[in-house]
Amino acid sequence: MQNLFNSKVIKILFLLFAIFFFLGNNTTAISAACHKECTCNRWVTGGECGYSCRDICDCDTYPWPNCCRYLCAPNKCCVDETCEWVDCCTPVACYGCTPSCPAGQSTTVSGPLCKQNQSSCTGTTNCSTCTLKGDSCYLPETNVAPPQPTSISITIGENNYNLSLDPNNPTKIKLPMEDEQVTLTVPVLTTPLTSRGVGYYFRAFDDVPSQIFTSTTPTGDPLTDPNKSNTQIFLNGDDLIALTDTGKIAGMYYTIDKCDNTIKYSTPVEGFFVVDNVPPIPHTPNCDPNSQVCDSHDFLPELGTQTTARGCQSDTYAGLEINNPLAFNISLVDEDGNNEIQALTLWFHANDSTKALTPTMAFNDNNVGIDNDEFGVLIKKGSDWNNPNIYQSNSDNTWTLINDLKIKDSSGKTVISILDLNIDTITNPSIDFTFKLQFHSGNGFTETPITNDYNVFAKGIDSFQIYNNKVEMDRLHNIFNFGIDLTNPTVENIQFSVQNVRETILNWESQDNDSGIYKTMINGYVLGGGHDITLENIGTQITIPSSFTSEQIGYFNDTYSLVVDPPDSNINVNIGENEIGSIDMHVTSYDNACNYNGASDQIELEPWIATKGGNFYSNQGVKTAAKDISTLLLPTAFTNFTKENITQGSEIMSTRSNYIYSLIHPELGGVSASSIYDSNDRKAYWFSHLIEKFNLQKTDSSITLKVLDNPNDTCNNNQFCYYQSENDVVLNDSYTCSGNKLIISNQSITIQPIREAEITNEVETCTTQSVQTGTTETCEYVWKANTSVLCYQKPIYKRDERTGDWYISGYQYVCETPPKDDGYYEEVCTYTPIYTQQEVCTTQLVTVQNRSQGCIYLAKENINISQGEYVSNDNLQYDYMEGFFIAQSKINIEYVDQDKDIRDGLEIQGGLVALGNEVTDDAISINRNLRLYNLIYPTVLVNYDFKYGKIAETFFGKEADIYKQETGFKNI
Amino acid sequence: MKNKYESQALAIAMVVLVVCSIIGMSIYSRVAKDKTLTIEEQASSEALEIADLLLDYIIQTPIETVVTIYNQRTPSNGESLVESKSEISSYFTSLGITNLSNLSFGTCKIKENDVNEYTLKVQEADESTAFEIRPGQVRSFITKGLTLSDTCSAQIKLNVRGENQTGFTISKIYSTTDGKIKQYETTDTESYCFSPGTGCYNKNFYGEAWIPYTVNQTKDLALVESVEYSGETYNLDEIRIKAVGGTVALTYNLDSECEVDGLRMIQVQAGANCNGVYRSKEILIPETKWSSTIFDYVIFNGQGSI
Repeated sequence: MQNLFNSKVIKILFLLFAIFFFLGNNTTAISAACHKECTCNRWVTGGECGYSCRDICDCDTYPWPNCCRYLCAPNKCCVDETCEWVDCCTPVACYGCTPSCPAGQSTTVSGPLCKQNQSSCTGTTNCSTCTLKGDSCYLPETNVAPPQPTSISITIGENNYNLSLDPNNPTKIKLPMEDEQVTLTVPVLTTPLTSRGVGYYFRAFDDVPSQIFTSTTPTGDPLTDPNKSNTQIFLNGDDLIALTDTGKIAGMYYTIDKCDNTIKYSTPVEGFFVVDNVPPIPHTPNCDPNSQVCDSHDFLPELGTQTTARGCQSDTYAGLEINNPLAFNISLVDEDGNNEIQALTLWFHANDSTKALTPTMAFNDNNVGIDNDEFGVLIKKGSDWNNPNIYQSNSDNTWTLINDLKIKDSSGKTVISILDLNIDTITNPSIDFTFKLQFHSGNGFTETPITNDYNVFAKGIDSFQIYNNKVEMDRLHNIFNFGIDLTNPTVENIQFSVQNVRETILNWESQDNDSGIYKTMINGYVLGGGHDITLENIGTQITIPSSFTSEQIGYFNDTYSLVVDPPDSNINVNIGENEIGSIDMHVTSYDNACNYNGASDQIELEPWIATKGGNFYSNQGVKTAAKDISTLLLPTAFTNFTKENITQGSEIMSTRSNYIYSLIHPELGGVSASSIYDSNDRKAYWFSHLIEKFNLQKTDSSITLKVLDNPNDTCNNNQFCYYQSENDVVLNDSYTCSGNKLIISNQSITIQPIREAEITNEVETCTTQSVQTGTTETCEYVWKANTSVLCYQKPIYKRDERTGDWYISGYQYVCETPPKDDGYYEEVCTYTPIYTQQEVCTTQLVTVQNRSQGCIYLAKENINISQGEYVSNDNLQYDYMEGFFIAQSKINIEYVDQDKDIRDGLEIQGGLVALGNEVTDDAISINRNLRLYNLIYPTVLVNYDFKYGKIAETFFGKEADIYKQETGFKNI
Repeated sequence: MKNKYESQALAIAMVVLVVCSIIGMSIYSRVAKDKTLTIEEQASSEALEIADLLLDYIIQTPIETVVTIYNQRTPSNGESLVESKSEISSYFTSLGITNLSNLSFGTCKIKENDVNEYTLKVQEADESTAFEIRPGQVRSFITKGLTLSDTCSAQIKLNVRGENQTGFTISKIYSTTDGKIKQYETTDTESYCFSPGTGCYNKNFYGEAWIPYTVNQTKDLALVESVEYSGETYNLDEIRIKAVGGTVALTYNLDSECEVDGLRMIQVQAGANCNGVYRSKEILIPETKWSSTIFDYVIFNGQGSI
């Protein structure tokens, strides 16, 4: 044993030595057979080699020729050597073997992806061994075609359908909704070891058949292959939509070769489908509601048959009185069989709504109320069509079951009632839905009624469109358009613009923000006037007889209604010969839903009175209120008034009656009071009282009262004059109110207005003046020297020295004064005026202010104010007169200017007192009539004047009320 | 037994006698009292009538005469006249009443040393004496012609007589020195209503221009005032206070600068004492009268409506 061990060790050591020796002398080992031997011809040290030789010649670092040569010795470098090959062998091309591939490979080309190394073997070059290479080696291709998929399915949205493989029994699938995802699926295939990857490939065909869909072509790269998923999106669901009959989808597996991108497909599995037909709404004779908006008559059977109580019809709106309830008739038919039909939905979409409808609406027990702009009704088959379930839409896009058939708002109030629902599945091939929708407003119903213009949509829903507790709501068809308006229009701001004495323009403002104004009916009725009136609007004229007293206001098809189409808002009214009473004008506007509203106003033709200052008392109040004319553009017609202060009374207005009109200009300081007792209201007292007082005054020696024999006699400035008669007194146009006059009649006084804004008096003015009464003449002879100066042109003579002749060489202007004694005696007389003081009286017409003078008229019976000089002509003017008038019975302001179009009004500066003794009608009777100008002008104006109280003090004296009152009693 | 019946009869007779006496005395007493009351009532009525009659004499006399005589003879604290001394007759004579008969009437004749007496008291009304203004009537302060200092004013108070559903107006009239009356302006008249503080008691008073006035609220009325109108100066001529809707009672006090003739009221109280029963009445006579209220109206429609 030990010997064996020793021999083995020696062998190992020897082997190791051989190896190390061999390897250590590797480069030379080969050269040992064929190598170069070099002899150095010159050794150098230092820099002679061009490079610094190092102390140790580093031949490896500085090889020849830089420093060290091939030969190298310590501390020197060889710069010149001679080398020779010795012991060499000449190799040849490697030979001696056949290259081969490793096991499992071959040089048969399977594919680039299977390419391995080259085939090889070990040969010789005669000098050494070598490797001989041959063709590339390839792994063999193992991929085979995959098996056929066992099934194929199509998923449309939430619905998955395993397609039938039987072409005679295709699977019915739902019609995809717009933008609904459609995917195709086959079972997953595990990648076999024999292939590099798997993929899934689909093709779809319509019933032509033509390929309508195909998957993306595989790339063969498992990493990037587009069909890696077993579920792929059908690129265009609309293609399914386009299928009208059956179709098929082929699904295939494919595997990818290991050695290249060759695809091997399986046999396709074919699934057959038929797309469900959504029940359309049947065509009407003229319209396909599935593709166009139809006439609403096609679905609203009662449209056009209704008329409101006032004769209005509407084919476009449901209103408070028309088309409400609104009857519907909608049919559905399903090609696949009416049994599939599950529901009808009716949807209202407001024109101006921007709310998007969700594609599906879920069923929800929580009723949050409808959205007025987007709402619908769902009539769904229950156990059968005899027991339908009715749903209302909610504002959160859900459906809620309504057992009471009332669609409610968020507060629980009813908005719409569903009436007379009938579903007929027998009579026609279609399922016919008839029902009515009644729209409510107020009175216990919703406070926010439906009001808008709607696009009305409808859709049949079959069993494929109701799933997972929701209903598909896409592909709603706008079958017709209709409006709902439950709000009355407004009519306001009726105004009259008087054009002349007979014509006025009636203006109004009608507005309806919902359905718009349809028509406006104008009616007019004469009350008391007795004459026809005419209404006119752009060529249309109607005459309304005065006898017409219909109570039908605002009716359509009424002979006495003037129809005005929007946007017109005015008509012309001609009152004809009406002068009294009033004309009732009624404006009734209808909107397009036959809702209406009206307003009215009166053209009051009764004259009215305006006053300023003083107390205003009327036993039974005022018949005709004053009009506010402050904003009207009126020509100036008044003397003491402006249109801004035209009012009934500016101090206190009172009446025994319990009603009095409000003052139209309270800012002027006027007040009013009703149910007032005025102690001056003593009908048979005042005349006799004033006469008694007057008689007393006549006996007062301190007062000078001049008696007039004739009322026309002049009463001078500051004089107090009176005329008293037992008979009627008629004051004609020659009468003037001058000075202070009191005209008394034990019967009646008739006076006509005389425009005397100021009193013009013939005034005699006497003054003491120095007046020339004569002259004195004084004459004397006075020497009158001739002072005249004679001037002339005096010639200048010169002598001609040659001839000696004198000639005139020029002229000289010379003036000569006569001598002093040239003159004459002249008789000169002087006249000296003689002045004496004399009273000189001149009579002249003087216009004096009448602020302290005036005339009072006192009649035991009536005072009649008759016609004055006509002053109006082209524009209204007023007769003007001044005076204070007291009549124990009546004051008649007579009817004047009958034949004139524009009649004079009457303005009085003073006061009118009519006590009404033995009068059964009105004590002050205004019979003047301005025709239509009564609407904007007062017929009579009275401006109070304090001066008459002062003037009356002279005629009637002063007074003070003295009352006895008991002061109590005592028992002494 | 017989004696027993006689004593009982006597007792019964005595009782009857006493009862009859009592009844008789009662009847007599009542009759006497009724007679007294009747006599007193008659005397009271007669006294009132005499007082009324005395005042009638004065009322029928022109106010100017009353005022003149007052100014002539009445001392500052007034005078009290009695007819027993013929003072009233003398007074009436001074007033110019000529148809006086003996001022001794009915059963209330003036007899010497009798209690019957007629009295007449004439004095200037003080500031607590109310002048009643009936609805539609006026109490006017005439300042024209009076010499008043520029600061002269009257402090007026008004009260209601009866219901408080009343009001009053105050109107001012201006004129120039030559008698020209100023044209009416809306500011010349103010309307007041009796008020609990805001609004008017009378709900039939309409308009925001009603000025609320609480009872006896003092209002200062300037009696000297000038306004400009159309370039001319107008001086206050007259202030007219008119009752609206009911009777108002006016009391007023004049500043010391205003105590001039023309603004006073004369209080005349006439009374009669007849058989111990005294009744009296009084009147208030304004020193200056004013124009008739019928001339205050711009429109007076006494019948129907206008």
